[in-house]
Amino acid sequence: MASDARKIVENVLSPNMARDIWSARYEYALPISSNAFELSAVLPAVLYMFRFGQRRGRGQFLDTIVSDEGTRPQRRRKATVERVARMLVSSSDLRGFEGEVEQAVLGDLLLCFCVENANRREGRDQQIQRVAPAHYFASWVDLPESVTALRNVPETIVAMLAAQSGDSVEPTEAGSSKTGWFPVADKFEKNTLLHAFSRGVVRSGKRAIQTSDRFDEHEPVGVDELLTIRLAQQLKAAPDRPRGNETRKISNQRPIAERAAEEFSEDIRLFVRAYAELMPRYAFIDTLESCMTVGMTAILTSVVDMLFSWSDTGTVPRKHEQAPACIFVDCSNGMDSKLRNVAEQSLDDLMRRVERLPEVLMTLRLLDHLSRYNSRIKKLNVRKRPYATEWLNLLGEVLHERHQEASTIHGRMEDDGNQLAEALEKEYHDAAAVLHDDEGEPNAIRRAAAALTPLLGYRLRGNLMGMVDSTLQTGRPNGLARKRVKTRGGRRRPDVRSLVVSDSTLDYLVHRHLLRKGKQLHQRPLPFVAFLRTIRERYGLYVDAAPPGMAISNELLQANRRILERRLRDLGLLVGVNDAESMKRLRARFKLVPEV
Amino acid sequence: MTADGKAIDTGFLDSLVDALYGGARAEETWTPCRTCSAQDRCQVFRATRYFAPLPVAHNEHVQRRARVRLYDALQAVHLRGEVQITVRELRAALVYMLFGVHFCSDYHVGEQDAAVPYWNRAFDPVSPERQGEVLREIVHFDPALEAHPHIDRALLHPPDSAAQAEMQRWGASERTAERRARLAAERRRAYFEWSERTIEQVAERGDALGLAQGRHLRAFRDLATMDDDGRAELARRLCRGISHLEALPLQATERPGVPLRITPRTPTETTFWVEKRAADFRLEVELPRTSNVDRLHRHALLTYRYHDGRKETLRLGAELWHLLLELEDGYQLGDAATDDTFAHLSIFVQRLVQEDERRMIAWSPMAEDTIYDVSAELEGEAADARQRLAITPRRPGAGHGE
Repeated sequence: MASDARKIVENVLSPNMARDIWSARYEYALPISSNAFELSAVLPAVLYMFRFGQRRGRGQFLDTIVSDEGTRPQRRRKATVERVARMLVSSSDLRGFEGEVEQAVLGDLLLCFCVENANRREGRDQQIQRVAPAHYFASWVDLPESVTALRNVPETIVAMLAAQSGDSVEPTEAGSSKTGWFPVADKFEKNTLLHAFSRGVVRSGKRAIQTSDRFDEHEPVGVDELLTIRLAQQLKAAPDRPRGNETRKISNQRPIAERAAEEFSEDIRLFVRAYAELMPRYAFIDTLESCMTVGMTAILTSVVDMLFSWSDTGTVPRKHEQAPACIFVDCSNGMDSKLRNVAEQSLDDLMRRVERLPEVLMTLRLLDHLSRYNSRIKKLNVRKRPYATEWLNLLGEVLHERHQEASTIHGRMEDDGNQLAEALEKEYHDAAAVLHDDEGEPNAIRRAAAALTPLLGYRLRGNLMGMVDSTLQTGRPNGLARKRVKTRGGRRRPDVRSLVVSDSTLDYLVHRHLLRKGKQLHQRPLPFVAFLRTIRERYGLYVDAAPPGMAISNELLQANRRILERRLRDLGLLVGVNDAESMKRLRARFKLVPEV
Repeated sequence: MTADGKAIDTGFLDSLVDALYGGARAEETWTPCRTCSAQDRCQVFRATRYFAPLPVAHNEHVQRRARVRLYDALQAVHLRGEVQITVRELRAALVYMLFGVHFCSDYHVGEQDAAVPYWNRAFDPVSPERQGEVLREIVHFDPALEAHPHIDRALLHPPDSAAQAEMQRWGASERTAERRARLAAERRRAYFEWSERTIEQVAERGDALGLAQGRHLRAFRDLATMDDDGRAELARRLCRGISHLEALPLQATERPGVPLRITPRTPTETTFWVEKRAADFRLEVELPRTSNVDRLHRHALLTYRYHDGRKETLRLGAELWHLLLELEDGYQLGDAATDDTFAHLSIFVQRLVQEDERRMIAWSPMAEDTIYDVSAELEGEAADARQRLAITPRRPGAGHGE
């Protein structure tokens, strides 16, 4: 159905325009694709991009592990832990693993620390899909095979952390004085994130060469790290740059939620600097994933709210006006049904807005295409990278007919809309009716967006729920949300989601906000009330207050707060007495050794 | 705890309860109640017989037993560590439990129906006008939250005639909910009023009726005054409890050391764990620094000493203490709400596991009788040095230097 509709749109509007608008995303607003991705697989790709300053292409994994003939999908299915273990056993770096049982143990070691099967299936005979960030050398393993499966998330994270000003993220110039905490393609020890994962890595050769990173055999590493290193060494080299249509360059496109993006960058920078060597590595990776979940969620919800605000006013909220969506958090993690219901209701509000987002994105794509080729607008040469705020404001002016070129653009859309309505009349009557309804919606661009969005079909309209679930890590042990199947009268109803805080999220939030800003790292005393205010203002996580527009009884809010207090106490993160609120303070479990 | 740190006494609580009953004037204050016409329905008078100072309460043994049980419950709230009990809070809670919220006039004009007996005022989470942190916390230890077949049968079908009559009054038509409420109230009452001997006669064990999740509270409380051998034994039991937290094969738990399981990213057939020496764990208590006032710890500290002399400490509240000792006893946990209780513990275990990041033990069901040492070893010297991942089969009985 969607492909038939596209043909009609191509015939009426031109193939060029159809290509531009027949998409699920609008990268200038949110560079992440509207689809599901695996956040835990993002980190190795981020490490690769920081190391080489380019997007990751195809590597040697599949060719090394599966040498059989067959198509690539067939060979991919044969890439199992069993095969990897067999290959590793043949190396002289492993001793005693020749027997059947020992190989099984080796396979389970790989599953335990280094790789994950497709769909998280159990067993050594399943297809491997992801590599875990046990060490920098995990970035040599090209899993998932195509970096596009990660939906542009690594590129967005790199762009936000590198904080460069050009159109793409470029290698940092050698000897540059302003490199920041995340220089690109520079020395490992200079990049905070690379440094945290690169125990024993030395470079011998030019930085752009895929084989120049070596492991210093004298540096003792853990079993999990050693296994990752040996697996990478079997591949001989890091993956090459992308070939074919895929671009090598890392786009410096950042989400329009400038404030959330900067705060995310600050959070990850401070957290990694402070705790990378202080926390047990397994706990550190968990909390780092929580850090990414919280930060990406704040960015996503900020963008959603900002786009609706843009749609209403034609202006992107200024940085100091930006804020993430306000969502109530169930601190009982679903154990208290009243709190769970309120949290579900709160997240449901956001989900309803997310469901309407494709129409706003279609409006943007239509406006973008119509304005991009307008000669007067083109002459303005508005910058879209790193932040496309100015461009979106211009599009907003056009949408709300405040721009001098607006009448031309609206007139063109009006004419095209009429033609399109005629062409769609027979097979897509509903869409045609929307296009004709100029009394219900006088704005031609909005009408066209409303008519075209349903025609995209499920796949292209974007698996938005998939993207939201991936960002929130819904249902994962370290996730920020839970999903519940609701049934009534034996009939299944749509899943409901609620925001929860896992232990690793609490661990992350407390340790992060105990850190004082600045070049020198310090931990500061943080009252519990200040912590609640911080997570409310910074991430939109409401614990002891009702989000705007929601009525929650004070009793329930206090119960939620008490549960959080209790959990923090159990985690060893809160001290205090009962009748002095200001004396309830958060404390670090991982005490910081001041940097020299 | 006494100033010399050798015993735990409840002198302060005794004097506080005595003072609430009138102190030196208690007898004079309560004399009118002996001839009061509302005596048989007065819930204040009922409590007085068990908790008032002598001679207002008639039987010293009964009074002592009831008071000890009351103090045990209050200490449990303190040991749970959720709230810091102030004297104001303590007094308010005691007043509510011992005297309720009704005046003499209420009983005389027949408005006592809403008055609940003292045992329900102590533990029933929905008793009327209940407020305050202590009363909110104490319900976690409600004796009605647990069950014992012999005790519960005896409480529901008491042998004495008055109770038989009461049972007949409830009759065979007694609904399940009513029956449950009656049993809950009877368990609470028996907690205060049954002697240890009575409990032993009914249930064969004197400790069969106590506070919910309170079986190990006494050991937790007495930790401060315990000798080194006693603490070492408890540390060993706690370590075994930590080991039992994760599913480990018998080959791991039967060995003399303390096995700590490595949690895999994906569940695997093979189990991996590291082993620690039990002697490297030490149990202490965290006491307030001051010795001028009465004090009682709220946390125990289980400290592990690394090979290089560094220390790692796990703070144990009463709840985690109880759960670990229950696990050590062989109980299994089926309560998802306990996840948070173990969160702190999991970090402690992770830190200990990281000490042995270059060495671990594996067991695969493919070779049930064998366990394997898996290690990263540096072989060769200088430029030829190479780290190798090695696996070596080992007899399950071979120790870890214990």
